[in-house]
Amino acid sequence: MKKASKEGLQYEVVVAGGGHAGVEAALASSRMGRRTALVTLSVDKIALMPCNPAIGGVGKGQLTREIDALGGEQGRNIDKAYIQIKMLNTSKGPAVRALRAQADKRLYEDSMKAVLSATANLEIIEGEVARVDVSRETLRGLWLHDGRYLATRTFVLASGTFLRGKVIVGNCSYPAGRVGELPANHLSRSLEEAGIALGRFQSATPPRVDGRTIDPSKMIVQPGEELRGGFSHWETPAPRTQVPCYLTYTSANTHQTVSEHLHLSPLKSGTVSGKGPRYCPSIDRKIINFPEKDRHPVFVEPEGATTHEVYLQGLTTSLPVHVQELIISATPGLERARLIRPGYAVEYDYLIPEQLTLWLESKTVSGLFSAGQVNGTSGYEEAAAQGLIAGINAALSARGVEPFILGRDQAYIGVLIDDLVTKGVDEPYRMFTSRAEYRLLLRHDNADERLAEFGQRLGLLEEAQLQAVENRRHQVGELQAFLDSTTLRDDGQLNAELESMGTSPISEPQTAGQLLRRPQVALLDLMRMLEASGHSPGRYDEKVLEQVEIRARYDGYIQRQLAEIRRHRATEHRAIPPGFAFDSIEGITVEARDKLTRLRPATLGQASRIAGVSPADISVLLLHLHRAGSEGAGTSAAISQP
Amino acid sequence: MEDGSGAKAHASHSSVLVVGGGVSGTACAGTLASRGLDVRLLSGALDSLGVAEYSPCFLPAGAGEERLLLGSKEPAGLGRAWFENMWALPGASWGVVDRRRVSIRLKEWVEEIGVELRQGLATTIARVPQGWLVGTAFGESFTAEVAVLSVGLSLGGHHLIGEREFPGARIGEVPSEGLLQALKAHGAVFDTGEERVGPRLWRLPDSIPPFLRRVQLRPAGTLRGGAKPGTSRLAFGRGPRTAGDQYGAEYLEAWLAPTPPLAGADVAVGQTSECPVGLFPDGAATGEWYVSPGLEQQVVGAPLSRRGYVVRGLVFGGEQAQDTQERCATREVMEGLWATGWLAGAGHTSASLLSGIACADAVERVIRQRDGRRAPR
Ligand SMILES: Cc1cc2nc3c(=O)[nH]c(=O)nc-3n(C[C@H](O)[C@H](O)[C@H](O)COP(=O)(O)OP(=O)(O)OC[C@H]3O[C@@H](n4cnc5c(N)ncnc54)[C@H](O)[C@@H]3O)c2cc1C
Ligand SMILES: Cc1cc2nc3c(=O)[nH]c(=O)nc-3n(C[C@H](O)[C@H](O)[C@H](O)COP(=O)(O)OP(=O)(O)OC[C@H]3O[C@@H](n4cnc5c(N)ncnc54)[C@H](O)[C@@H]3O)c2cc1C
Repeated sequence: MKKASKEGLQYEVVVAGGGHAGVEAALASSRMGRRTALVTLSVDKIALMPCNPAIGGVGKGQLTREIDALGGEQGRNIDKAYIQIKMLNTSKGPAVRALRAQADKRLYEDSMKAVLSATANLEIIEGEVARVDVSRETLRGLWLHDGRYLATRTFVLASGTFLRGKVIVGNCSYPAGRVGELPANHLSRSLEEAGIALGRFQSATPPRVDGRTIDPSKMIVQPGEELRGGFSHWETPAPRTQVPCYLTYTSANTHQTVSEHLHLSPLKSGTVSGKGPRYCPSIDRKIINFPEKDRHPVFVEPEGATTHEVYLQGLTTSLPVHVQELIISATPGLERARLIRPGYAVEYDYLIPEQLTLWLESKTVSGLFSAGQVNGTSGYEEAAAQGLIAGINAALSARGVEPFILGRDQAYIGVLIDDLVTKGVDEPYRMFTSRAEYRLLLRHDNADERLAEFGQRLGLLEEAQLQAVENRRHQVGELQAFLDSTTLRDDGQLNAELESMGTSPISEPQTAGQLLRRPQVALLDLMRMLEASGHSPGRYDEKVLEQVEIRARYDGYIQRQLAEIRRHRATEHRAIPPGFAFDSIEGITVEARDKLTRLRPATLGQASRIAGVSPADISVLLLHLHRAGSEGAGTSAAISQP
Repeated sequence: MEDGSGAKAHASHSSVLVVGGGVSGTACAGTLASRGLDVRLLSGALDSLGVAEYSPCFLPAGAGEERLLLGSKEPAGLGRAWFENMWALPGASWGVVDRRRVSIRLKEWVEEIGVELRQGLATTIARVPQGWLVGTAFGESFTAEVAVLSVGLSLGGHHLIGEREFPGARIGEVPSEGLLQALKAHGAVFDTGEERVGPRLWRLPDSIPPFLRRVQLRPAGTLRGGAKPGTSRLAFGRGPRTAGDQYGAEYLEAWLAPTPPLAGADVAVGQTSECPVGLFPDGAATGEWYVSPGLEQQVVGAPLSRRGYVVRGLVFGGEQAQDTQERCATREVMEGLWATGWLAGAGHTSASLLSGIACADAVERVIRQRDGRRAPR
């Protein structure tokens, strides 16, 4: 075996962490041709889902689609492993529509591991990264806890909840990264010695019970849907038998039980010191924060197809186990539910994300990237999205290539990372559609049109995949042009049809495109009407029809957002040179100068979102930028342009 | 029990409490449940229930295949979980299991057969009027008439990688320190057990050492003339396996050294000469290959996904049994407290499995006798 010398093992990129962030990072880097090692604490626990058995949902689903559109793995993997899938918000606008799937957790892990196994340039190493070898603010390599040394210039830290991890229930706690797994206790100190500031966060997971002991007759069945596509843009998932979820609600009894035992909560007793997520609150916190609500939903979700264990989404708690049992049995339908895994909280070190650039590299230690829960987020999708970007940028950096950055107007991924590194976090960050200002453009249905070109240029997608996207774009244009140039007039039949759809008849001739703007007129019906009146619109697949319909219907809004982006683009993407001397700017507030100096934004847009930096400060900054002679680039090279 | 804050936490009771859901614990708990007993299985790691933690090599208990496959008392389901996910060299008495698949099937089986599963790390144990009380790291407590300990090497367990020593019976596992102290306080006496585990390769080396020959492993299930592999409810992911590319394929491939092992190579540590030495596939969802301890020096040029290591842990009383019968045995270490699997001296996966069944037999007898005594009153 190789000796534990500094010359031992050499990689272009090393990723620490076989969670959702780490696997995307490792896959991206190795697919881009870099010699990559993925170091993780247990090779038997790759892509494990320690909390909810689901991928997607509103906001998160968009992230998964974007990951897929760039050539990442999460979308394809959940398509292999889902046991239920549905499209949410079909009755609402396209900006908030999203897929959500229930996973078979074991299958999710196994199929991800199979993909890793088949990936060239990638090795997996079981071990714990214990120290970073940094000299002159540059990463040189990594020490594993067992004494091995990995020489590398680029490292992606994706340690999830494991850094000095501690699991907690009531007033009991023990060191662990997750229940039953030892934490990674060594790396934090080494990071701090390298000048990296860490914070402490906390997150909790609900209990699992035996699905045979619940009473579905007191609950609302939540079946899946037969959908033609899944998360992936590139493959159609095989049809399968789906497993239902169930919905119940907490009762006054549940709330009383919680209230009576609140003094035993680790939050109260001080066992937990880290900050927890406001958006995925424990049942204890929900009852404290919303005393006016007399019930909260509880979704009962299967953990897999080969187990009876079910997950109680909504009953997250780290109250003592006997109290958890009381809370469960006070909830309708769960009176006799038998506890299998108690809920618990985990507390861990995270890296304060304002220390990162927009490409997720540390500003303090060059070559050190980080992604996932360790950057202060929560959720598999948020983790995977960062993992992909960190992996791409580690791979680019290993070859000295300019970083890849997505803007807020290009992707939810751009919103996520900009929020993290610009505004920082005071609790685990989770994605919502409301965080994106251009959400009508950043839709679930058009992720491939927005991002596939990047994926292909980075080497993560095949030419043929991009071609398929281009073909569709072309067909959408073709059909739109046809509809806009085809005039319909009433032949008696047409107005009758319109009226039966609940919309007003036409008196003047109108183009098909105009008619499609009416919410009552579905494109499929319109195509039929066109054919009936002697036109032949041609045959298009579902995806093309969907795009044409959405664009016609929301054209006004879409145009407005596009105009807004154009208006802001000049400032938003205006690059600030890396070495720019923020501390020498005159005429801005002291606070603004301090923050700019500390955060070193890469673009004017990023600077403008820093709390404490006013529009007036930005105008002064712009003036200085002009003077500094960074002219030439009207827009930034920093944000990647397709 | 008090949890320190004044709230009452009642211990929940069962006839039998099995602590540790590894090879022997799942066999024992499942067997008891299949015979109608009220049994709870407490394990620190429900996600890896029943996993043969150390290697995919399923070694014979001594008397070979017959002995293993006979299992006259083996409850339906237990054998299937193992054998449907096992490949054997035709005619040989050993096999290679897909550890992951076995684990998933075993969990399915113990749930189905009525074992009360519970995730929890046992940290204390005490004698109480009802029998035994076991406490967990999360402050829960469970009582049972009979407690069975099947925590493998986690009592005082530590592992050595090269020169360095680390806590835990395997990489990443939390050692059962509290449980050990409590048992010592009750006067338990231990010996030290030691075993070597080989490394894993992430891929096969470009050139296979010439002393290894390629063999085809056939599904063990078909050897039994009944069950077929790959009949689970789900289709699983596939590694880049060459010959066994498709899960449930006719055969998998392994690389074997001629038996007896290479002269001079340190390959037979703690294992008998009937034990095969070579490179074995580590399941269908991974590209990993398990390397027999000692062979790592010979297989160079392939990346290691896991290093080999030595495990030390405590075993209940007496010399580690050499006799086959005894190796599959179980021990009552104190009244109403049984040990099974590694902890009782079972050295191999198959021995641990048989030990678990033997323990269930013994415990069932005890419980039925007590019930008999109680009944007339
Ligand atoms: C108790 C608990 C509560 C949760 N609550 C929520 C929630 O409320 N909402 C939600 O959406 N999600 C929740 N999660 C899910 C989850 O933690 C994350 O959202 C997601 O798994 C993060 O992915 P990741 O890749 O960043 O990290 P993880 O999935 O945690 O993976 C980290 C990986 O890094 C490895 N590792 C760590 N340190 C080292 C090291 N030094 N060297 C080598 N390898 C290392 C570990 O072995 C592991 O494989 C919760 C998880 C837990 C355990
Ligand atoms: C290094 C090594 C190499 C080996 N190689 C081979 C081989 O090549 N072939 C072969 O046939 N056999 C091999 N064996 C033997 C085989 O692995 C064991 O005999 C078998 O796994 C023992 O089964 P068990 O049930 O006693 O314990 P395990 O299978 O180890 O199970 C112990 C279980 O207890 C749980 N647990 C531990 N502590 C607690 C606690 N405090 N509370 C609750 N749960 C707990 C663990 O999570 C685990 O699930 C090897 C053993 C070792 C140590």
